[in-house]
This record gives sequence, structure tokens and C-alpha cells, in this order.
Amino acid sequence: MRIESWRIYQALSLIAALTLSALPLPDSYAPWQPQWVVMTVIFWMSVRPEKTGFGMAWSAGLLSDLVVGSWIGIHVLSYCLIVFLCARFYRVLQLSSTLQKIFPVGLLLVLHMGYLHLFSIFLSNVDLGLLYWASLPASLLVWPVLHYLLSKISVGDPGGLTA
Amino acid sequence: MLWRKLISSLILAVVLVSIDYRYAVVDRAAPLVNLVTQPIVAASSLPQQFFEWVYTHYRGVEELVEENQMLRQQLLENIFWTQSVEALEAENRRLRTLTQLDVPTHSQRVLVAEVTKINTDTFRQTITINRGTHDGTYVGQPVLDEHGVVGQISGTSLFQSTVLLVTDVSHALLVRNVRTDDRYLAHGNGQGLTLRFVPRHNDLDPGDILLTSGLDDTYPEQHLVGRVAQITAQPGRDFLEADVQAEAQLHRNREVLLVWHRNPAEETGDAD
Repeated sequence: MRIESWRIYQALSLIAALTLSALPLPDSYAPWQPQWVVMTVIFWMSVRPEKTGFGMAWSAGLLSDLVVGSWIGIHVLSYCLIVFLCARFYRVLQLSSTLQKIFPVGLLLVLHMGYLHLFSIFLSNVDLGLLYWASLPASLLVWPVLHYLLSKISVGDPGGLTA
Repeated sequence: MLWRKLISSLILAVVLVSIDYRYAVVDRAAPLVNLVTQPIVAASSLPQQFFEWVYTHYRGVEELVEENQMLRQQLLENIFWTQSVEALEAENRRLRTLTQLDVPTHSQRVLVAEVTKINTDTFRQTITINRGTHDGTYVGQPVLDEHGVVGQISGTSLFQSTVLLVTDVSHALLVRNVRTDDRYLAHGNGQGLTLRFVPRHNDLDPGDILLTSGLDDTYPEQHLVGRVAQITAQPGRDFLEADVQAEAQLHRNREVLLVWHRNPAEETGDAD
């Protein structure tokens, strides 16, 4: 079986996103770390909704859990939900431009972060404060750049493009 | 089809989380997990290493000489203080023999460990260090840095160990107020530490320094834990609550100290 080249790009981009999210930042900047992995997952769901899905959610989720050091399965849960929503409403993602996509992306990010927040309250009773949400505007700011770079990558192959 | 996939995925994920939450599977399989995560973690520390390299290679000679001078001064100062500590210890031992109290036998050994990974998770505060059972580490071993108490080892493999920080919510230790000698239980709260259940008329002020009490079998006595930052009294509650700022550089330190302070016979016992 031949592996299509975009699959390799997809794997590489997810690993790059994970690396970025594991980047050690000074304490005062740490809350502003964008949600790289979530945005990468959303991007691939918007470009290849018929070919990617829960496999990507599981591998990205398991790796995030291991790298971040949370209980295994926590990120998987969230990514599965995001992938499901993207697949269910893929037209919204597909028919909107990069900038318009900010709204669904923002919504999914709020969902993801809210879910993690809930988990932190239930499992460990940590008060994260308002600064926890700093990652949301930071993510939305880098989204156009990320989208541009990733579409450069995904355009390169003849497998038919939806963008 | 989509629904079925979602639901089976969610169920499987929830099962995974609960198994890991209950049995700490990932912590136990740390060597295997590190095999997977090490490349990613190493790649993410590259920028920092690069800047450090640039910094160390392009510093002027004068700056280095200055730093060297400063370090030498500090060393002299430290030698002075250690000498006085030794004298004090001898005096203390003599006084204790006079009053027929137990003479504490100090057999502390320390080893410097490098921090290889700082887990960025907000709800579990751990770091990974490059020392394992190969170097004689054990679960429950205290870890300090030059400023204060960092935490204790929560999982150890041959060449690596996980350190649970004092600020983690599942961590608590017995501390002593230097000024008043009162003892408190300091719980981690995710950002710092909290003293719960402080009696209302207790003599506790912001700025008070808290040391380890040495009564919890885990931490050696007399090491800096933190300073009281804020004391809050909630109407209707019988107790005060105090926030404590941890003194150790929990998220910034590159090197930590492992301490062996118990007899080997005791080390086999449980740590908590």
C-alpha cells in the first residue's frame, strides 16, 4: 500500500505542533501558549474531512497526554469530540475563508479549554484563574499564520484539494 | 457511523483516564513513555539551548571575570556560614548530651540531578530528573534546590525519576513557622501552598518564613519551604486560610539536589 504524501505532512505537522506546545516558556508567558495541536487537528479536518478522523484524534491525543504529562486519555476525549464536530459540520469549515474560520475555530477552542478546565476542577481542584483563558486570544491570533503555512504544505500533492 | 465511532472512542478514553487516574499506569511505565516523548521534548528545548549557547559564547571577558569574582566572594561567604553551622551543630550536640536528649545522627548525602523535563500540565505538577534507582533513588525521597524544598520523588525507574512538586494538589507536608515555632500542614494548591485550618487567633503574619519540621518522615529538618503571602479570613468559618509562596524555583530550576537523610533500613518503609 502506498502512503499518500499528505499523510506524511499531516503526521509531521502534528508532531511539530506538539513540539511547539511543549516549548518551555517563562512563567509569565506560559498561559499565552497557543493551542497548536487543537488548531492543527481542526485544519486537517477542514481540508481532508473524508480521509482523516478518529485515528488522528487518538494519535494526537495520546501523544499530547504523554508529552504534557496528564492522565492518559484526557486529550483523546477532547480531540475525539472536536473531530466529530468538524466531521458533522464540515461544510461550515469548508465553505468559509481563513478569517471566517476564526469563529468555528474559536468555538472549538473554547470547548476544548472549557473541558480541560472542568477536568482540572473535578480531578484536582486547581484554581487556574482568568489567565487560563489567555491562550484563546493567542491561538486566534496565530490561526491565520498557521492556516497559511499548513495550506502551503497540503497544496503540494496531486491528491485533489479542497480548500 | 460517525456517532458510533464517537461514542466508542469516548467510552474507551474515559476507561483509559480512570485506569490511569487510579493505577498511575503512565508513571509506572515511565521508561517506555520517555522513549516516545523524549524526541519531542528534546526538540522543544532546542531554541532554549541555542540561546544559551549564543549567550555563553558571546560574553565578554570582563563580564566573566566579574562573575568569577562575585562567585569567589560568595564562596568565601558560604564557607564562613558553613563553619558557623558546624560550630553550632557541635554546640547543639553538646547541649543535648548535657540535657540527656537524643543526639540526632546526621548522615546526609546529596547528589545533584539535572531536570530533563518540566511537565506543563496544569493539574499535575511534576518534573522529571536524570537520576534513577541506578543512583539509589527511592520513592518518597526529598528533592531540594538552592532556595528551598522542591518536592519528593513519586516514581522512579533505572535512570530517571518523576518528582512531585510541593505545589501539587496531592501533596502536603508539615511545616514550622520560624518566628513562633507553630506547626502547620501545607497543602499544594496548584500555584503555591495553602495552610488550611489555622486557628483564628494564631500568631501568623504575612512574610513569616516556613521551614520543614522534620516530623513527616519524608523531608529533612530545617529546610526553607516558603513564605506566608496572604492570610484570608472568611466570615462564618472557624479557621483562617493562608497562602504560601513556595521558595524553590519550581518551574525554572535546571538542577536539583537529591537528599538521602534517613538510615538505609528506614528507606524501605513507605514514604507517605
